[in-house]
Amino acid sequence: MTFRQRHLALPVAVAIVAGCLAPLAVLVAFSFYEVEDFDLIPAFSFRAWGELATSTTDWFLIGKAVLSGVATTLFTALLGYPVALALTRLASSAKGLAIIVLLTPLYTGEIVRIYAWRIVLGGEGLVNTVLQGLGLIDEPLKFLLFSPFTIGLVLTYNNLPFMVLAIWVSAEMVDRRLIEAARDLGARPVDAFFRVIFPLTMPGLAAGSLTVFALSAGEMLTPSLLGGTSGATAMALVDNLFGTAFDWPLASALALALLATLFLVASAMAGLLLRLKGARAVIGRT
Amino acid sequence: MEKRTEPALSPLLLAMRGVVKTFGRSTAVDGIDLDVPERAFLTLLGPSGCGKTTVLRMIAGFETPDSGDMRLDNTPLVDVPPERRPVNTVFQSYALFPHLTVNENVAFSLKLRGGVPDMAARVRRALDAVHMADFGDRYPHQLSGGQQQRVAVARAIIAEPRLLLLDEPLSALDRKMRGHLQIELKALQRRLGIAFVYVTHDQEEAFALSDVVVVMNKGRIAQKADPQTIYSRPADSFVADFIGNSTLVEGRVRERLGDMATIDTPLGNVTAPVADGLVAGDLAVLVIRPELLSAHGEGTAMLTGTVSNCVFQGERSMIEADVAGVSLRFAAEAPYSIGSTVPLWLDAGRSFITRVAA
Amino acid sequence: MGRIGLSVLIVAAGFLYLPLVVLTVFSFNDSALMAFPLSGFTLEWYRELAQNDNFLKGFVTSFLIAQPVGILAMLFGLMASLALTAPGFRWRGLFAVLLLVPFLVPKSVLSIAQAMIMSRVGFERGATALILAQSLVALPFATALISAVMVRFDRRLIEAARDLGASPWQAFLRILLPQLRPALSGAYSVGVILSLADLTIAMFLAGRTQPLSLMVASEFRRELRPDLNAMQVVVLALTAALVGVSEFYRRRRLRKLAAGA
Repeated sequence: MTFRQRHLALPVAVAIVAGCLAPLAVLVAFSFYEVEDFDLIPAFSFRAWGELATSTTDWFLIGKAVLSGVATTLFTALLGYPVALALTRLASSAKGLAIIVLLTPLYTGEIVRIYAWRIVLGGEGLVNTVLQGLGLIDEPLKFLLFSPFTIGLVLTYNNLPFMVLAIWVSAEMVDRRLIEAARDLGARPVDAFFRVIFPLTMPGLAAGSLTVFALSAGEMLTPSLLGGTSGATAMALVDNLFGTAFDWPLASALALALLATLFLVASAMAGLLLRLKGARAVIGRT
Repeated sequence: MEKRTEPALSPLLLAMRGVVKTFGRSTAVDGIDLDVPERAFLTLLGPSGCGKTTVLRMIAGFETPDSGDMRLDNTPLVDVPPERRPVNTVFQSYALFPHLTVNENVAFSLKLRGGVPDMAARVRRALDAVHMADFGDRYPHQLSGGQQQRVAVARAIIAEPRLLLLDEPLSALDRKMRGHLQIELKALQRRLGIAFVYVTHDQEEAFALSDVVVVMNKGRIAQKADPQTIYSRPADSFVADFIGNSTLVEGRVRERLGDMATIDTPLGNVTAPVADGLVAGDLAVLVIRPELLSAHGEGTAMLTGTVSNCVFQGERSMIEADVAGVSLRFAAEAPYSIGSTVPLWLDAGRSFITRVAA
Repeated sequence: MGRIGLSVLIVAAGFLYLPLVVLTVFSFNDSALMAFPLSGFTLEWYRELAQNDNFLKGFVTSFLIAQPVGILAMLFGLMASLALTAPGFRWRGLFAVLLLVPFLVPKSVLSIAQAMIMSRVGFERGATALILAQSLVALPFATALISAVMVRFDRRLIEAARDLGASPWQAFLRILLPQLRPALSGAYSVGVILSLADLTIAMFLAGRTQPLSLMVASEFRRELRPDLNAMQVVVLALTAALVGVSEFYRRRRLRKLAAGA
């Protein structure tokens, strides 16, 4: 068989299958194994799944992950739209720079971001100092750090560039003359947004939402290092089960349950977005 | 060409006075005065860059004049955003909303006001007016260019604007479709009784459709008149050159007597009707339309030319013949060979002496 | 650009850069506490940093791991893009979905699963595992970057080259590859940056290797120290420099291509 360009897919596919799919398949296998004296024994047991099904903690944590993902998606979408639309109005020469400015915080690394926010939100951090200095508060705000607020804020911070980028790319492709036509026909700027811009940037919003959801639902470090007591995550539990407790079957089951749940929610999200008016027509043409 | 009359004493719908618009260092519109009467079909005609589209966009509200006055129904238009003007636009690129069906596109302006009682009926009427009623459930990308254009027109007229603006709506279509839609648009305008302001660079289109043609050049109005007048009495050499295939011959006015004057040109002295304001001694241009030159006539020919170019066009040929350094264009029934001599008769009484354009 | 638009952008930029600016400010602050008010300018922390052997080792480790990641991301990204744009590829859709897997599955899940399978199989956790895992995560980004350019590539140029006698390989080398160079360097940068930025994967797969992010993380729980601060800033500055240089190079390349060099 002659070598064709499409055959290049093979090594890549093998790498992905070996690196991603195989480990997941192994998780499935492990979830049916038994554990004895810190030793993993191949078996076909439903013990782990049984424990998972009856454990409220586990499902609570999975629910938390979903909530985290959905909330972050929502916040980034609400914040991201104005930013993305503002970016479309920049002069073209400024746009290249804008992309760099937008993406640089992403490059800084997970730990740097966590670290920096800890400084900003701490009792003697920037926010508290400024607010006290302005006389708006007397005591430092405790809820800023090591709370659900922190998790929400930093997750939004981490994922905002992805959402902005996704919406922006879509918004750039909207013909400006359509906005003019809408205004010509009597649409105020608000109408023009909801009736023209929003439907036409749906593909971007969908891509951004799926991305942000996937990234934020699976976050482990930010919640655990900045969330304090509310920072428990499903993945942290999996880590614990994997390492300290050495209950690999349960760890696998939990991880798989989390993954499956995230997948279902993401599909539902995608389905919902696609069902919105005219989305199919726009995507068909894109 | 049939003679057209100006719309008689119609009330003024739109009045622009001294309107100026600059972009950076270039002046797009340089102080124009424009009147659009009710029910008129007025066309802004000129080459690209002459400012006609800018004028249109100022009427629509997408550009704000730097100075000057604009009134619609005697109400000043300054500070009125596009969405609140009773003016609608048919865009060159149609600008149909890709995520809405034809029906929804047309109903757009009505839906913005929360819908009206007989909306479906009105949508249907608007689509009927442009013969697109059967396409209501299609999406724009499923329509051809001509069909999209019609939907764009329906969408613009449904809100019953006082004034309809059309920005080179037919320029993206092929010749045949353009011809059909020109007829449809003219008929539609007559039926609706709405004033149309039409922008085009196609002189034939302008003449076919309009009651009034406004020829623009470099941000200024060169001439504002009915098509027949523009054709037979162009205001300056720019207008004369833009319209049709005329030959322009430069010369100097020798003397003027009432409406006629004699101009001294390389072809000799020619006596012809003259534009207002030209007096003896002025530099001027003699406009010779091709149909005023003929290779046949009575008596001895006034001019003798050497054929320099011949373009065969089927039932006739366009000939260029050199006479005393001037290249004269005329039509002949049969082609001539390059280099041959041809006698020429000029109907000077129907030519025109006009001023040199700035 | 209206006033609203401009203020939106300024607020957004402020939000995005606030923590980083604060971090940088404190790295120059003459106090062991990361608290306001500021005490005064000092380079003390940077001096300490320069003498911190651990830091230097960690930094070198991070750097040495990031390079192969960049290269692998670039190579595999190129192969994936070529496959995606190949004519007559019936499995294109499925392949595209496959490429999304490393992106959509949370890093933590992947890393734990990989750690589990490796421990079972006897594969040592360490630099190699880390490099491979990080390359995998970088792959979707690299592919997207290169594909974006490749999609716009005019196939007729290849046809012209073939017509003039070039073999497919020569056509690729002489016609396609030069046009791809900016995207390839971009893909490389993405790999390097993702590797430097990562902590999650390192936590599970690094074993005894200590990239910088791991070092900082283990300190994090104990206390905030200004020299860690300085460390962060240095990493930040270097990453920014890396981005800046690769962007500059990329733009220069693009301009040259546009000018027909």
